[in-house]
Amino acid sequence: MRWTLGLFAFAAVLGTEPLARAQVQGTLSGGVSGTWLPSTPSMTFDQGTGGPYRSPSGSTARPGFPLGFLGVGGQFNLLLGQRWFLPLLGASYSTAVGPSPRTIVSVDGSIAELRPWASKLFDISAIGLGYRAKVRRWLFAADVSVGLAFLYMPGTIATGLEVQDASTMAVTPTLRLNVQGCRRFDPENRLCLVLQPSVYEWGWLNGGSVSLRWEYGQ
Amino acid sequence: MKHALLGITLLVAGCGFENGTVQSIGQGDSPTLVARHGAVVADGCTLDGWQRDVLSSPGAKKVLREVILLCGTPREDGHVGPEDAGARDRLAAIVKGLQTDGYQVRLGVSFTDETGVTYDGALTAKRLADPQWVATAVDAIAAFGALADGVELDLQQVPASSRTAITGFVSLLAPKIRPVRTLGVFLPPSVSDPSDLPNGEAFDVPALSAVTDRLRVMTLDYSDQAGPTMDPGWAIDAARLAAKRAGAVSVDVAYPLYGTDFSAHGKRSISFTEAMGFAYVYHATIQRGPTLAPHLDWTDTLGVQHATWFDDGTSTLAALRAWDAATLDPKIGVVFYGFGAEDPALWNTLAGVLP
Repeated sequence: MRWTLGLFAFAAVLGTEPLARAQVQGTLSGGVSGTWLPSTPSMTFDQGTGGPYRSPSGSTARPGFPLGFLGVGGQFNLLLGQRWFLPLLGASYSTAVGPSPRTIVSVDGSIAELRPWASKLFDISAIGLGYRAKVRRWLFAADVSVGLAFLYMPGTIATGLEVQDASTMAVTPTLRLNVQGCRRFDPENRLCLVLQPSVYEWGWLNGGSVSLRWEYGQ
Repeated sequence: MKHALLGITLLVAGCGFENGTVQSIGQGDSPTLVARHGAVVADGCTLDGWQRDVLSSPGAKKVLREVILLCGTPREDGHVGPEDAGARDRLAAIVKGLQTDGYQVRLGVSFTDETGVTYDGALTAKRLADPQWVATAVDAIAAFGALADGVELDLQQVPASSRTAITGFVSLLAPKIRPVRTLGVFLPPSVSDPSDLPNGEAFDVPALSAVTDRLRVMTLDYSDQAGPTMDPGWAIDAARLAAKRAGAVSVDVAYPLYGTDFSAHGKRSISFTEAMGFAYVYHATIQRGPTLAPHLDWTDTLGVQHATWFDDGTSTLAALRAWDAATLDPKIGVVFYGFGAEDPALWNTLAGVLP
C-alpha cells in the first residue's frame, strides 16, 4: 500500500525537510470502540407536523446525563516518512450500551421524553497530525485530529393524551487526542490499543473512547 | 444479581436498556421556578376553614399574590347577587381578612343564569344587547367591586355575534372601576387568530386590553374525552397569542387545581382528595399520563367505568418548570383555578422551588 503525494508544501510549513523528501505511505485500521460521553449535549427536536400535535421543531432539551457507546470504526492515515503521519479520514458508528434513564424533558413548553438507550453516535474525523515511533515489535503513536460528531436520540412529545414520535439530534465539531500502542505481528500488520480523549466534543474534556484496532500498512 | 447479569449481557451484546426515569424539565440548570405573578380562583363567596388556613400558610403566601372569589352573578334585572346586606357584610369581612394576610382580592362576576352554574350564552347575549340592562349591570358590578380590590368578568358560551356588545360592556364598566380598582376579563384559550374555538371571536382582545388591567387565559378542560385537564404546551400557545394581542396589558395563564372524572354519567369535576379516595376505595392504580398528570381507571358500584384525571404537585411542578423564562415571558402570570380541590402538598411544593 503505497501512495506518492505532493505534500512538500505541508512539510515545508512544518519545517521538516527530511519529511518532505520522504516517500509517503498509508495505513488503514479498523476495529471496535467504546465511547464515554459524561455530559449529553442539548438535543434539538425534529418533528413532523399534522394532526392535533404541536410542532416545536428546532426546540432543544438538555438531558445532561452520561452515556456509553459501543461501535465500529475505521481510520486511514497518510505516513509522511517514518515519524510523521496525517490522520486523513476516519469514521465510526456506535450505539448506546448499558443502562440509561427514560428522561422527561420539555420542549417549547410541551412535556417530552427522551430514550437515550436507543441513541446512535456517528463520528467523522477529517484531518489531523501525528507522530509515531517504533520500539522493536512495538509501535507507539500520538496524533490530534479534528472532525464532526452527530448524536441521534429518539423520543416522544406529549400533546394531552396523545404521544408523537420525535427524533432529536446534536452535532458538534470535535478535537481529539489519539494515543495508541501497537503490537506488531509482521511489518504490515499490528494490533493497536487506542486511547482517544475528547479534547472537545460538545464541551471541553467531555469523555473519550477506547478502541481495539487492527492496523495494516508500513 | 439478576439485574446485574442482564446488564452485563446487554452491555456485551452492544445494547442499551432503560433503567429508571429522570426529569430534566425546563431550560438551564437552575432548580428554581420562574417567580410569576400568582393568583388563585375560589369558586364561591366564602372560604371554608381549610381554605382560609391554607391562604394563611407561608407556602401559599409565597406562591400567590391575588385571590379571586368567583362570587357575583348578574340577575335578570341587572343587579348583582349576592345582594342582601348580611351576605355582603360577610363577603367584606372575608375580603378584609385576606387583605390583612397580604393578598389583593378581586371579586369575580360569573355571567351564569340564576342557578349560578350554567353559562347560558344566548341569555347573556340578549342581556348585553339591552342598553337598560347594561346600564344597570354596570352600576351594580361597580358597586359590588367596591368591596374589594377589583373585578374579574367571567363570560362563557357567549356567541361571537356579541363581540361588539362585550367590548362595549367592558368599556362602560372600566371607568367606574379603574384606576382606583382593577378590572380583569377571563378569556377563552384560543391558540389561533381567528380563534379556533366556537365562541372565541366573541372577545376582541386588543380592544379589551385598552380598558382592562389583566387578561386571564382560561387554559382549562383540555380534554373532551378521558384525558388531562390541561396540556402545558397548548396553554403556552394560548398564553403567547393572548399576550401578543394584549400588548402591554398583563396576561395570566390558567392551571387547574381540580380534576375531571369521565364516565357514562358524564364529566364531573373532582378534587385531588376525591381522586385519591377513588383509588383507595376501588383499589385502582394511579398512573401518570404523557403530560405527567395522574389518572386512574375504576368501576363504580353501578358497574359504570370511570377514567379520572387530575393534577398533583408533581404534574403541576413539571408544567411550571416547562414554562421556563426562555419559553414563556416571565411577565405572564399563573392563575390557579379551583381553590380547595388541589393536592394539599401543592403550595409547599411550589414554594420550595421558588426563588
